[in-house]
Amino acid sequence: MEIRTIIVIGASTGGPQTLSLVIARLPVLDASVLIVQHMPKYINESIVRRLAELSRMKVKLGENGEWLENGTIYVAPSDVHMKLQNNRTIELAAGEKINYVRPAIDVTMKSIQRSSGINTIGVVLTGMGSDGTKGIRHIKSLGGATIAQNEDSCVIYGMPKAAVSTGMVDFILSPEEIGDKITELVNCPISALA
Amino acid sequence: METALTNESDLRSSMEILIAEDNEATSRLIDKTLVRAGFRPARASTGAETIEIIMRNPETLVLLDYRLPDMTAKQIIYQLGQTHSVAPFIVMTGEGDERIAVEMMKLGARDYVIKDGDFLEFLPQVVKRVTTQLATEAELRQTRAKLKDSERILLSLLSNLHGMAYRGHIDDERKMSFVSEGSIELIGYGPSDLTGERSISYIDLIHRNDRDMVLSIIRSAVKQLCPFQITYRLQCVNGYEKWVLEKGDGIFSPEGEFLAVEGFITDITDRKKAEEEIRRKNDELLATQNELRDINMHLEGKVRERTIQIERMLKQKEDFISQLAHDLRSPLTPLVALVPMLGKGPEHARDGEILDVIGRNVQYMKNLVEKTVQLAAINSSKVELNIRKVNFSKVLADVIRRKSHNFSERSITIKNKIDRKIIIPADDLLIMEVLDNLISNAVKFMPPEGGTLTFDAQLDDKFSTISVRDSGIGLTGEQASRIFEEFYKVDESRHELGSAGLGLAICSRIMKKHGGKIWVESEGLGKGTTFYLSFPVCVDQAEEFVLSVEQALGIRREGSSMFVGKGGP
Amino acid sequence: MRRRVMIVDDEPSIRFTVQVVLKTAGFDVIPIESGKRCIEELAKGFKGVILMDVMMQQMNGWDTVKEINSRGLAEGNIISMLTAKEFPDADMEKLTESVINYMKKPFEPRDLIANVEEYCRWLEGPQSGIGQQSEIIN
Repeated sequence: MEIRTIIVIGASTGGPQTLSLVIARLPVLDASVLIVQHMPKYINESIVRRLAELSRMKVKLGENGEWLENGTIYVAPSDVHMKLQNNRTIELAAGEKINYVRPAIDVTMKSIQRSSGINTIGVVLTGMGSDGTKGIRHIKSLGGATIAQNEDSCVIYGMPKAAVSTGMVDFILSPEEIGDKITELVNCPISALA
Repeated sequence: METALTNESDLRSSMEILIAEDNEATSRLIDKTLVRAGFRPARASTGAETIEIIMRNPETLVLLDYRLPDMTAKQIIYQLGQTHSVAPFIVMTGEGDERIAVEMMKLGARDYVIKDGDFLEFLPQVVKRVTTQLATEAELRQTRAKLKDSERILLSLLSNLHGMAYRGHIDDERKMSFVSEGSIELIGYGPSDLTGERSISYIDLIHRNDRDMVLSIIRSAVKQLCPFQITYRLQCVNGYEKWVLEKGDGIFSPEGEFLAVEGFITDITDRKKAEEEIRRKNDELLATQNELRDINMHLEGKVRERTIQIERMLKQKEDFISQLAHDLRSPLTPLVALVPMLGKGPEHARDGEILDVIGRNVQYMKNLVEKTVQLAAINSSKVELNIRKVNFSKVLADVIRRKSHNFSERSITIKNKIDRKIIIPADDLLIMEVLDNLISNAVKFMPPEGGTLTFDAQLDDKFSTISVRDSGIGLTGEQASRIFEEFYKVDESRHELGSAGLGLAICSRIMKKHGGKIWVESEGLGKGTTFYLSFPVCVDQAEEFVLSVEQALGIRREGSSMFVGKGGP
Repeated sequence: MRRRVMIVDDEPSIRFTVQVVLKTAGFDVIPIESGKRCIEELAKGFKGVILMDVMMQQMNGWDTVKEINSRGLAEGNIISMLTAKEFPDADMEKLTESVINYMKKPFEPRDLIANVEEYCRWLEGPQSGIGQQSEIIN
């Protein structure tokens, strides 16, 4: 059976520059990457463009009904929540802001369904508030790996701190280390190491 | 009378029978008859023989012929009587001697037999009857003896028990029909005092307040046919009170008729005393426990208070440091960002400007650091107050002169209305600091067109109060209430004007050190502000204050400084 | 395309500093001393990077951002806070999506320059020449 890897990276204030550092470290991964960045709508395209410059992978805004492919980064567009259907298809859903944001990291992470056919990695980067905390719990419950950005490198150590306080974060790292760890985990998923 | 009679025949065989008859033939005939009837008689033919046998066996039943050769029956009885061996006898008389028989009966004969024709026929019956009678009598005697013995044991026991056994009535006097020896120990009266004709009424011995209770309990118990138990007080002969426990029950005839109450009374005074003691000690213990609990609560309260105090102080320290760090960041920004720019790049031409900006911010930081250190120094408990006789007006004039450039630029007029004669004992350097701060503040908050600053003084017998009134922008209620807080700047953004927000906090501290106060009043925005400084001594006492401190410390002033203990607010 | 930066701060030293640093890197710097003035400039059509101080008299940085949003003046601008405050207040969470960064004072000049460069890149449209390279670099 084909086992796919799904990676969700969430970021807020100070996210874009951090994402640049992380994404620049990644080779073409045998995985699908979903990025949820809290930002104003009018820089959606800009962020995608910037990340595309830095990344060896394909970078695009997620589209409704889109099929997830490996070696591709999907950035959540503003003002909708980005969910996965059957761990395979992107669904852009309307809805209330959650934790004052839309898209919310929690919504994306929690939309991943339990399946023996997928490995998951959840990453929470700099930002205010606690979006992503519930998502991290969920990913852990699926047996996935969880990463939070360390305090020293954070613009605002809010979201990563909240995630870490669940006790369910596997790794607390700097942006470059996060990039390397993701690469490592894709090749050697945690569940395989059990 | 019911006795467990043994077999009649056993009785007979155990009974000795003596035939006292001198006529041989008759004797033998009687013997035969009796043997046939189951008896085993012995025979005697003379009075002497008879006496001898009976002396040996006093239980013998004698069939006694009235006239024996040597003695009459009468004589034999007499003689036996003297030695106390009165044997039971049946007298035998000849024909027609009924008179004699009756006489003998009077002397104690059990029966008589007339030796007529067929007397042998009736003899066994008579003997049987008498032996049975005798057996019964013997049994009775035994029983009586046992009873007597029991009685003796009982009385002996009773006399050894600590308490009084009794039997009595339930009349209003509680008349006693029996009282054991224990009454002496218990009440001090003997049984004879408590029973009989001129006896003491037991009720009178009971404590007045308990009498009714005792009677009613006993009577109702009797009525309900159940035993009773009462605790009450007795009044003893010697006047002391005793606590007793009485246990008793009613006794009734077989027909159910009430006969008497019987019971036992013991002295429980000691027990009662012990109980009382325990109760008292218990109360003491409880009181002590309560005290302890109160003390505990009090202590906990104190600890809680102290903890809150300490936490508040720690928080203050944290806030101070945090605020200080924050306030240093702003002036540091130009330094950190601009110093690397010096002498480089296309903006080289602006180096002069850059240095100006850097310089201003360095000054600000310097000011901030100095004031912080000053505040910390004043806050510490070891402070040297150099108390001098300060001529306030003169000191103010000095300060005004030093700061004159501030005023002239801003068209501000100073009016010094403080009476030149006013002397206030204070640390002159610190006072200058206070005035400096107040003047700086006032100048800061003057409107651009300038204004007036007026100094005045007022004295009463307790305080010397200096007032500093400005015609500046005034303060809101909130600003006035916060103005003495550390780092509080009325105008948050006006860093450039050099305000660290610590000046008034320092003034406040200095005034406290002097035992005085500082406060501010303003009628509102645009209506000016007045600061007040009050020192807690009056002019006349100036010298006294200085002297008394000297005396208190036993120090002679040698012209310069003088330590004033652990100055503190 | 001119790269324009607005520095909104009531402290003259800060305005001066940012001007000097960013001008060195070739940016056009407009010094603004209050939130009110910032709104005015945006209404006049300013588009570019906005560096916003938090602690200002009258209207603080966050209130200014709220006002910008409610007047629909955010489009075409990127806002980064620039402040001596260590940590934003809790109710600033509501403005998470409006603000790209939270820069702290004091800052190294090169960090300021790098960040502002990045923001400008995000503001630039495809016509800048930096196109969809991603497809090619695979």
